[in-house]
Amino acid sequence: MKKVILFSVLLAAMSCGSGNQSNDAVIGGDSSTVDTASSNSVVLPQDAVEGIVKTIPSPIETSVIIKKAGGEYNKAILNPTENSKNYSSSFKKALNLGVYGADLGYINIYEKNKESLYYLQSVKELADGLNIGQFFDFETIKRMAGSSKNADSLLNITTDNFNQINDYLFQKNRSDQSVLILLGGWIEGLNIMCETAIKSKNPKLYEKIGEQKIVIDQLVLVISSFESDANIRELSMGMKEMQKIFEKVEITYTYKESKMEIVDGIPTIVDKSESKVNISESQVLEIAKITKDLRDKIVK
Amino acid sequence: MKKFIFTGILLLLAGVSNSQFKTADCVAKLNGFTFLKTYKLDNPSKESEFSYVFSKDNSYIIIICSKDGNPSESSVSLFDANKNMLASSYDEANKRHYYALAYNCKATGMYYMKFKFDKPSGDCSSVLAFKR
Repeated sequence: MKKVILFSVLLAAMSCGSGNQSNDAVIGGDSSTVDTASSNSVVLPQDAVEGIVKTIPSPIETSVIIKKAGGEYNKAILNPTENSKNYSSSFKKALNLGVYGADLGYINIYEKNKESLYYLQSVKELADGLNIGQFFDFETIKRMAGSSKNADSLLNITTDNFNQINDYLFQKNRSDQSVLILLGGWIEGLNIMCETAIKSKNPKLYEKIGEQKIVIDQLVLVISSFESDANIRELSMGMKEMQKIFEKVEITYTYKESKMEIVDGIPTIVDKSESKVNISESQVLEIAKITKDLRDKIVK
Repeated sequence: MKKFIFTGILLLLAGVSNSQFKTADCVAKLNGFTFLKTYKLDNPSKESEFSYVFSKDNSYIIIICSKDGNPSESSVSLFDANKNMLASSYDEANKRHYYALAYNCKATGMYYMKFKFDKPSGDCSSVLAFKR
């Protein structure tokens, strides 16, 4: 069953068109060609990687879910901004750009605009270090951060900046860095979610953690593609360990035909299908532990 | 008011390429939804498909924008992980195109957005946004 799902994901990811030959390990360079030569890893063409990257939910969603579930703002669980000067390699810069991006989203959702300035500074440092700082107009963003009235706009602008960075990195055949930014952001978002869920014992948040099983399968697929890099290989091994824990989580899906209504002039799908997640508290604790271990390695 | 300010700022920031104009146009229509992703639809003579993991109890909106601001000949259809079609922004019965499609998600999973252009109409883009 797992093989079928994996194959379906590959097909879906590769349906976006012809690929660029960004990775030497891709046999023949045809976008439909997949190299499975290295152990347990699949090297995907760049178009397929981009397709999967676009599939992964934004950490902004995680932060909104936490806030709506009554989670209190907790600065202590974020990566301190002073750490940004410790990241010297491109690998660490990209990963922690994702981490700070997720932290910034969390801060913006809680409308801590002044706090967001410090995190924007860290984002700027790391983005400049990766030569992608041009996508942030920090002076304008700083001015906006001065007023809580601008919280929505600030969130939209920083989201747009990260989207532009993602497009740029793919254009420049730097998809590995795009994947690292994505991964850093996802792990940070999951860590914030786990910390909040354990503290509040909120079953809604447990369920949201369990749903990440769908996401981690995509992430493992995409990160495995870059295992020729020793740093990424180590990270990929950690992700595969995490995936094994998620395998114990059960998600069931029941399809029922949906209804359509026009709401405020827009066709709106009223869903009748449903999904259910079966996850125990001990599984949540296990996921939280491995997430924290992986996250601590990233931010140290 | 906020959305107009944001649109203006995006345009100023952008160095102002066509795609960014389109993103700003789309974002200006979000109306309470939080912006998530942009999808470039640079070849409107072809169908384009993107996937995204939608989350239970979130509401999503997919908005299509074109350079001339009127994507009257384009549509987006949404499919679940098993490729069951949920709905389209094109109302076949009334032959009407809508600029957006909204989805109140009750089942977390992979979903597919398929964009279709009945007539080539220049560059288009789309944004995905959500609220809870």
